[in-house]
Amino acid sequence: MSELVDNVFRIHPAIGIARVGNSEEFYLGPETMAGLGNRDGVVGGLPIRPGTESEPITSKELRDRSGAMKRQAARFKIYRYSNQASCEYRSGEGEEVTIGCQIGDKTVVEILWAVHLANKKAAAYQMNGDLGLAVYERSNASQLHLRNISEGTDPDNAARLRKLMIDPGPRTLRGSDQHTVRFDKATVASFLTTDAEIEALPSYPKSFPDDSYSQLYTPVGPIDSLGDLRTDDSGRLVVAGGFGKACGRVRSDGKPYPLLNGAIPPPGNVANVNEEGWFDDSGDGPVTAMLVFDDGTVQSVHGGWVVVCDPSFAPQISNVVTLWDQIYDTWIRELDLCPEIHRSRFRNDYKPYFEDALAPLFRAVSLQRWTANLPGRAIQAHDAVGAIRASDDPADTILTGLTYIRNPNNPAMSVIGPPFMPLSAGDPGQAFLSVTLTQYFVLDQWNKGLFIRQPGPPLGPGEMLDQAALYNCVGGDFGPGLEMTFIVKDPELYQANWRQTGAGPFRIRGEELDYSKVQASQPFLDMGYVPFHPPPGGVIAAPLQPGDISKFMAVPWHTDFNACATHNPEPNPRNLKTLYWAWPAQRPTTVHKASEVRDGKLGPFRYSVRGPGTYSDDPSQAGRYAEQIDIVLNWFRIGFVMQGSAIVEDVSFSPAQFLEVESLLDEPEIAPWPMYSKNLDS
Amino acid sequence: MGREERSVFPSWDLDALHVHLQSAVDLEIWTIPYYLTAMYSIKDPSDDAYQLIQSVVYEEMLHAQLAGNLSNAYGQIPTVGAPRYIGKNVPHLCFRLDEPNPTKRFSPYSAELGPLDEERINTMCLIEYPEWDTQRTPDLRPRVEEYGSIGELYTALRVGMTELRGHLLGGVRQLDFFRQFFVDLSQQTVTLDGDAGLRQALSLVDVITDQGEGQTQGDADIPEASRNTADGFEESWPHFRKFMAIRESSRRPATYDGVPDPPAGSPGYLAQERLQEDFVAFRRVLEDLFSGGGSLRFGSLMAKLGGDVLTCWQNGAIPKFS
Repeated sequence: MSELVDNVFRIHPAIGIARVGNSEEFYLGPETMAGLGNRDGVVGGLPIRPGTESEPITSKELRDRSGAMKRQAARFKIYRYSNQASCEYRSGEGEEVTIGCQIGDKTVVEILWAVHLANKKAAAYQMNGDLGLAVYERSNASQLHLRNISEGTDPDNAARLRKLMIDPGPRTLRGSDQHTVRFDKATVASFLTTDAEIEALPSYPKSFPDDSYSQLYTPVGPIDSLGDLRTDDSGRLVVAGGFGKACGRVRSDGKPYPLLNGAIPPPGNVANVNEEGWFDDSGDGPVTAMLVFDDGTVQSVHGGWVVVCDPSFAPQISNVVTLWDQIYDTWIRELDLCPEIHRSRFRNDYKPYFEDALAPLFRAVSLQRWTANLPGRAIQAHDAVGAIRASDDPADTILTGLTYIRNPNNPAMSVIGPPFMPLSAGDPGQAFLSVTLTQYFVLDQWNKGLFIRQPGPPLGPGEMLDQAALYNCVGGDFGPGLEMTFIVKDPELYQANWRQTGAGPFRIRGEELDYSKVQASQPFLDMGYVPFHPPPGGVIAAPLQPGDISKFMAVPWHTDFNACATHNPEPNPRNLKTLYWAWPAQRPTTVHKASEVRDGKLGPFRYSVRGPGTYSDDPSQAGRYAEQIDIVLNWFRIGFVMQGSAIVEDVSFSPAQFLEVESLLDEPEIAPWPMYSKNLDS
Repeated sequence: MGREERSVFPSWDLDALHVHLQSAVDLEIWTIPYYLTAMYSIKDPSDDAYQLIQSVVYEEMLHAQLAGNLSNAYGQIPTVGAPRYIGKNVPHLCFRLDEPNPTKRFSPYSAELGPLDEERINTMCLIEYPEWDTQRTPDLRPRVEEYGSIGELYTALRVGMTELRGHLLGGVRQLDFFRQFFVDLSQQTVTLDGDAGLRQALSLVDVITDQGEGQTQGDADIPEASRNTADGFEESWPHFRKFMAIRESSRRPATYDGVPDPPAGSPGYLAQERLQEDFVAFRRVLEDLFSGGGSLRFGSLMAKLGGDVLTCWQNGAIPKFS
């Protein structure tokens, strides 16, 4: 036992990302960082072929034989750390624990996994496009409004929650099991006891939309599952999410609630992120595990969290501001992650490692051209940023002086557009996106020559999984984004006592769910985490329950995904008609088709979302469906952007090009940016 | 209009036109480092003064392209020499010849590079000082230095271009970098020959004068068709109005301090060296573009120049381009 006492066990990634697809089949989420590294001529970010350790998929593995889009599953592993290393970040430690693994004089004979997915979107508060996270501050209470108020205005009303939450309950799985466990109605819920027993919950109050609504509009079939679990040969957990379905309630006049676009009352609220009457099958929830040893003893493991979200259609294109950057920034500034970088303020003597802190950002800049219609001059400039190396004197580079970086320390800069970068739509209340404070600090140190050219100490393998999972996600515009949103800036989202517990950083502060209190007649979950709203008698916000991350995202995700190709700046005091991109790395605005490359020369820009129902002579309305229902029906037809060297066709493509493949949509031709709306966003 | 009268003026010939067109290119190019230096001296990029100057710089870049297109249309590949910023000498302009003499109002002024201060903003106003319309056909001046304002230079150019329209050939080495940024402009290139080409060429001059240099209607708004549609600021304001707004503002933005000649080897000195090297490369790129080349470095070098200028200021040096 002493061997175990000296160790800490953690699930990695701390936050895993699964993405919907309309196929039963799946691939594994990427465990490398988009656009970085090089494996046989292929850069990171590609999903992994199931059944392999790290083989990236090719373009021929994006869809199943019927043409359906495969889901992206999240793979979770368990790592062992020494107690000494457990209170440090970047310890470099971490040894994977699998079935059969020897730890001291014990052998791991089983890994027990438990996951509880839920979707609370319809029961949650509206996403406020002006205020974002700030709408939850007490001072803005008057602007905090529930979704689906036709089902009542008391957020804690049990009947309302039961109707509007999708909660299949928890599921368990043995690592040695070879079967699939589904988050559906038929599968009996079960949970792990503290004694490492699996206990069935036949009376768990599951809820799916058709349990409460006899009439639903289900254009792509009913939502009857939030996904499934399985394990691989080593006992690792694989969580595959939902199928990208959305369904709507039917009004008293017999018609479904319409999917709307644009502003809805009260001010700040936008229809396409708060569609009244609609559900989707994304979700999120805790991932827990216990190790069982050959001597019958068991060992708990610090848990993770899985988020099931929209697809990412350009997996090797990284964002300039990633979800990792946002979460890292919060941990640096608020949660004492790296005191050498920040202790009450940024430390001027800190020297960042170029390859860790700067190269990814510069690389991301150079990749933007593949999913946004940048003009040629901008591509030249972006390429010059991508060409910056550790050996360069910053003064010799295009970024000398940080002349074109929007400074997040200067709030007035958030409304200043080009040439300041990023050239992307900003978070709620901010016209343009800014790098994080930590990113800017690191850039500033580099600009001053205060950086280390040699590679830094490597991350541990588990830490690398944490970073990679989040790096391949959107870090803004958080209006609301695609995977997680502005709540990542709330330090109360996380386990702040990570050093004391050994949990390690980036872990969600989940509620300890007591399944012994399950009652068939009552919803098990409640409103859960609401930023800045402590429960009665509490000091900080309630811990997170299943569904408490995804509930801040758009419902259904499809409509916001459709609408967020480009936007006028918001706020827009000067009434600019120029359009800017939202999340081109995950939701490409424009692409170059692989099939149109001739002798290595790129074809024209094409909208990623194109074909019937998308045509408009107004660029603010082009590249998206005019009728929101069409994205619900067609999202899985959108093509993927992949590096030329990962594309399997009769002809070969340059690894320097990132091209669209496997689209099932049609195309119009597009001129380079800038483009203009005919009217202002209302 | 200049007040200095001459009894005999030479008539236009192609050589004179080429000299004038080259002068227009020189003048447009000259303004860019001058304005960039003042702009980057402002510490807060969100300051209105910064934004106003930046918007003028963008239009000066357009003007340089348009002037280059005119020159090529009349058979001359423009060169891009090293601009000089000495004393009170703005090239090809003699402010005292303008009527009324604006230097009485805009003093002190200096053609030397420096931070946004009284001398610089006065000079910027002088450069963009409108040519008040006198309805008089301008005379060709044998020495282009003898025009009192940019407006007068361009008004004279109109006459020369019209007289020599037979030499005009469309589609010759025309640059069209900014079409999407001035999307309402019908014409940024000369594509046709003869009279039709002349109409296009004159419309390019209109754009330059409409936006500020040589406004002939006093302080009128820029016509909608000539406004920056992508990344401007106070898009309807001509340059003179923008600079006057800065000049008349009760608050002058905080600026960097700098010295013209920092010690050799100091960070400021090194920053100046980099700027000069990059500006040489930039001038070569412009010449390559004007001569029909396909340089792929314009975007990155233009951006690098801005960074170089700011880096000079950040290191206590007044930017030095040549």
